Order: sequence, then structure tokens, then C-alpha cells
Amino acid sequence: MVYKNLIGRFKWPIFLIGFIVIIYPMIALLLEALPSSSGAFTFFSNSRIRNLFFRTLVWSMSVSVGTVILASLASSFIWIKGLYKSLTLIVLLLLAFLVPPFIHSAAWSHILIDVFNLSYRTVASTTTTAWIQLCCYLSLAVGAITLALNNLDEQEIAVGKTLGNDFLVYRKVVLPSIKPVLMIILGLVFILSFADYTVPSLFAQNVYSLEIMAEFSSSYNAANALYLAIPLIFVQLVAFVIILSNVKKGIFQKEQRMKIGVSLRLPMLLQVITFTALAILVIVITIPIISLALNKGSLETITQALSASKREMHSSLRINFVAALSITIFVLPLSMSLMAVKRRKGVTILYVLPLVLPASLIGMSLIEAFYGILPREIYSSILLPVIAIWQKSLPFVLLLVLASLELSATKYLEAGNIYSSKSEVLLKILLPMQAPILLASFVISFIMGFNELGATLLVVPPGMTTLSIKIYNYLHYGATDFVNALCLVILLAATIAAIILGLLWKKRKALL
Amino acid sequence: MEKEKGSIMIKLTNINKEYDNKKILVDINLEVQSDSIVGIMGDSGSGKTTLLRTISGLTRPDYGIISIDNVVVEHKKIYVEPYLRNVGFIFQDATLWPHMTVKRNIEFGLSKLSKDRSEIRTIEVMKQTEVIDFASKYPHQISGGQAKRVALARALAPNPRYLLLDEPLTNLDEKAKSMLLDLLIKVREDNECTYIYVSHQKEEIKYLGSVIYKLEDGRVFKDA
Repeated sequence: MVYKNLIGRFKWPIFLIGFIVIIYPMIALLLEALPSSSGAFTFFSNSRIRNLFFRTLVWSMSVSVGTVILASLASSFIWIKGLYKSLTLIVLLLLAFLVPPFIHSAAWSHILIDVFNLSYRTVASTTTTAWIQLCCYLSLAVGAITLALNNLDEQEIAVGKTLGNDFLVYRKVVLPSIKPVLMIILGLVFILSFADYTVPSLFAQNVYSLEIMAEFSSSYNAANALYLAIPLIFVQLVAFVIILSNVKKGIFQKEQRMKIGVSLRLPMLLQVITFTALAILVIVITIPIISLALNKGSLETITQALSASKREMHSSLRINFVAALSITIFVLPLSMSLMAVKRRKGVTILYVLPLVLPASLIGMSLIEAFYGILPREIYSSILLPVIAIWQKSLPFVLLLVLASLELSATKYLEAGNIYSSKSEVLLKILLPMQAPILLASFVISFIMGFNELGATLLVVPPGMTTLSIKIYNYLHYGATDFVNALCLVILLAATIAAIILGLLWKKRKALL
Repeated sequence: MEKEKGSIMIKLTNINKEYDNKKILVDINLEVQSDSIVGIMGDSGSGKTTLLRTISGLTRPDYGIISIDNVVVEHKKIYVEPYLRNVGFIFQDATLWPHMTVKRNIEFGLSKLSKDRSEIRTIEVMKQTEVIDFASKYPHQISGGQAKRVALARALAPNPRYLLLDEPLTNLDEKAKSMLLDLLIKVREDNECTYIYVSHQKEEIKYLGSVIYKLEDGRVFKDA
């Protein structure tokens, strides 16, 4: 009710902008595909495609299950030992999440090929690729699970301790209590892994999302690519529904959690296992940094790499900055508009749908939606790459801001409504309260822009290249000093972002 | 251990506890006799909850000795885990685990029994505390008064000798309060359980017919 009063009729133009940028491209792609049914049955008629689909499905399930198990064990150690209080840990976890997948790939390639003297043929295996994907998502999973553990009502644990031993309490109270968050992470990692083709392609592994990209690249037929993508989208939607059905139970816990300082002591064997999981996490976090730092070459190489990539860096910074700024300005009104509608869940799903689409399909949908409609000058501008980043980052940031609005007590806004005008409530109460999460949205969108590859690859204007496209292309020729130096620059940017986000997280907690 | 009526079963000697340089419990000496009801009164922040948590083992004192049934359970390096102290604990909030049904909540402390014996004991204690009608419901589906009865059933299920009650009537309406008080009296007669009952309401403690102690600034006094 309070958001309905605040946003008023403005919600309709806001929904319209969101519709044009997020929903319309998907509709345009669908309309392009419908009349052409030639590729509609490829999935059923081609056994190679079917096998590839199921192989990728099993692969992504293994990555997500492995990530959740490892993360649960590491998080348990962090939580039991009280390490989550450390800002350094939060920063390191964020850092590992913000590092793009291709940097993880480059770093592990160095370790395996240069340090362990393995051949590329040996390294380019399913196991290595799955492991690197796990590395990409492990820190995100550990962060979320640790927060969930930290959010437990300790009185519930205290009661358990008066009735059973610590291991029983851990199995029957602690783990089931965080089950919704475990399911969210399982679904999210599955979605990210199932749609990713960058890591597998660098290790010569064919996956289903790469097949979709290849279909489009070979024929420039978006309809065939879409038909091919339908089974993938269906599975992604199932995973997405699992996430959404657990979000309310896992995140939107409004009641005050009791903190009374209860600790658990696990059996020795489990202590060893959880410590080992933590050690693996530390390795995952530090490997990219150490590997790139060792292989970056001289300072001269860095200078040369930076100077040779000036144009790409300039384009990336410009695209990412414009995208992040516009997303940050738009995400709060969109979130408020969603809070103000009756069928919020259904409408929200439409706006976060790009989360389940492979990046290449997003690129194709933008081509179908905007090419031939907009003035020619627009195609040589940064507009379409900016929209591509909107498609990839906005759903993620939108879910964060929606969660933040859900968690914030509306009583402050209602109290403001009694004494002040809507604009004053917005400027003096809502905006300051949500400022940390909005700043975090900016930083996340900016850094996610560096990670974006699949969609921008298709819509970047002629003569323009982004830093991630340049690095990805170079990686195909083998990781060189040059690429390492560029990766190190992105790593530095991610470090700064992680520190800012860590500080914002602390501030946000204080405001809740 | 066989308990003799009137013998000292819980003994606290020189219990001290500090939080953030603030003394919460100061030289507490307390003796609780078997089959008795000990009421502890005190204002908010006087240390009532900390005292119960120390007895149960959820909080360790800075120093002092606690013995239960003539066995030292807390002294320097000696520390007996809460679930091995033979005490039940009822908190201010019912604190039922939201992911378990009422029955599963009650069964939790019976994991050492066989399935059949656990089932028999669960049904027995559910009947006793009048919660059997909503055994398959989840905590969010029952009222505050019902939740408190489930918390009582859960604490009683392992048949503890001592029940520590931390303001159990908080957030209940008058009708639910008197129902729970009567149930506590009835249950104690059936189970021969010793109660340590903490509250800031003297009427509640008097209703149970208990020996009353006062806790002020971390020190315990017998109420005149």
C-alpha cells in the first residue's frame, strides 16, 4: 500500500520503459521464429543435439550440486568459528564472485600447464572445465550460505542443544533451516552454469549453449537458434521456479532473529572435512590472484598491454558506466512499481526472465528487436551494448532491490507519509535508506559489464571491441603475458569493487 | 540416580558471569531441592535468563561450580553438554523449529530411543500436554498458547528431572496464561519434575506455590 501511494501513476511509464528494454526483445525474437517452423523439430530429430543437451544437463547439475556441497561445508566452518564477522572475508568472497569466468580459466590454465607441466590436451577435459565453473560460483554460494547461517535464530539451536548432541542439532535443525537458501543457490548455479559457454569453449568442450551460438553464427537464422534453445529455456525456467518458490522462505524473513551466542561443536571427522572445504575455498580465491601476479610479466608488459588496449578499455568503461548508471537510476522506481501491483510475482518474472536465457539468445533478440527500426546512427553508438548489459544485470539487481524493499520496515515510510509529502518521503526517507543497496547495484552492474561477453559480442558496433571480447579472443590463442596483464587490470577493478561492496554491506546491515 | 525428596539436587557455588565488563551474575549460591518449585524474580536485565542458561550449560560462567544430582557439571575444565544435564528448557518464545511439525518437534529429544518407544513416549507426552489434536500441524498453523504447550511437551519428552522455565507466559492472553499454569502444575505432579521458574510477575510464582528468590544486580536473595 505504501509503495502504491508513493509511486502513484508513474508506475505505468516505468513499466513501459522496462517493457521496451527487457520484454519487447524477447517478444520480437519469438515473433521472428513463429512463422518459420523449419528448425522446430531439430531437437527431436537430431540425436547428437539431444545427447549434447542431456550431457550438458548432467554436467551443470554436477557443478551445482558440487558447489552447494562444498560451499555448505566451508560455510559451516566459517559460521561455527565466527569468521563471518571479518570484513576481509566478505571482500575476498565478493572478489572471487566479481572475477569474470575467463580470468578463472586463464589462471587455472597457467597453474595446470606451466606449473604442473600438463599438456593442453590433458587440461582440456570435462573435469577441468566443471572444476573451473565450480570455482566461478563457489564464493557466491559460500557468501549466501554463510549469511543464511548467520541469520539463524540461535534460540532454536539452544533448545536443540538441551535435547540432543551438537551433530544432531546440526543435521536436524541447522541444515533444514537453511534448506531454502541451499535450493536458491543450487538453482542459481545451475542456471549460470547451464547458460555459460565461455569456460567450456576455452577448454574445447562443446556444451548446449555453445551449440545455440554456433547455430546462429553459421546461418544467421535467429529462429533456428531459438527453437534449439527451447529445451534449455524450459529447464532454466524449472530451475528459476525452484529459486522463486524458495526466495520467500529463504530471504524474506522479517522477524527479529535471536542472537544469544550459541556455538556448536561438530564431530572431529566433520571438523576436518569442513576445514578442508574452507582450504579449497581459499585456494579458489587466491589462485587467480597468485597465478596472474606471477605470470603478468614485467611492468613494461603491463604498460604495453594497457596502451595497446586503450580503445577497448575506453569503450568498456564508457559502456559499463552508462549501463550501470542508468540501471541504478531505473531499478528503484521499477522495484517500487512492482511492489505496487497486485500480481507482483507474475510481473516480476517477466522482468527477470533474461536471467534464464543464454547470453547469445539475448544478443539475437536485441538484433531482431531493434535492427531496422532505429535510426542508422544508433547502431554505431553504445546503445545496444548498454541494453545488453541491462538485460544481463538488471534482473539480478532488481531481485536485490526488491529483497531490500521487502526487508525494510514500511513503518518508516508510513510514519513519513503522515507528516510529509510523497516527494519528501522519497528523498528524505526511502532514498537514504536504500542508498547502500543502490550504490551496490551500480558497482555490481559496472563489474558485471566486464563479465558480459555472449550478448555484446553480437551487438557491439563495427569497429568497437570491449575488453572482455579482446581478452576472450586472445585466450583462444593461449594465455599470454599480454592477456594476464589485462586480466590483472580487471582483477584490480574487481578488488576495488569488492571493497566498496563490503563496506556498503556493513552500512546496509546497520540501516536494516 | 535415585532422588530423595527434599535432598539438594542442583547446587550453584560462587557463580560469576560478566558480559562486556558488566557483572551479570555475582557470587550466586543457590541450592534447589528435588521435587520443589523454585521461583526467581527480578527486573529486566537482572540476570534471570543468564542464570537459567548457566544451569542448562548454554552459557558457561566465568567461574564457579554447578553440580546436578551430586555430579559436578561445570567447574573450570569440567563441562557437561546441555543435553546430558537432564534438564528441560522453556524459553520466553516457544522457539519451535518452523520446518518440523508439532510431533517432529516433540520427538527431537528422543533420538536415542527405538522408533517404537519414541512413538509411545511422544503420544504419551502429547496427550499429557493436550497437543495431540494438532500433532501434524506446523508451528505457524497453531496459536501462541498452543505453541507454548508444544514447547512444554518437547521439553518433557526426554523425561528430564529439572525443568527451567524462562518467563513462559510472555505474550499470552489471560486465558492462555491460566491454562498453561494449571497444566504446569498437573504435569509436575505426573512427572515428579523440579521446576526453576523465572518471572518478573510475583503472582505467577506464588500460584505455583514455589520458594521465591529475588535476583537484583546479579545477586540472589531469598524473598521475605
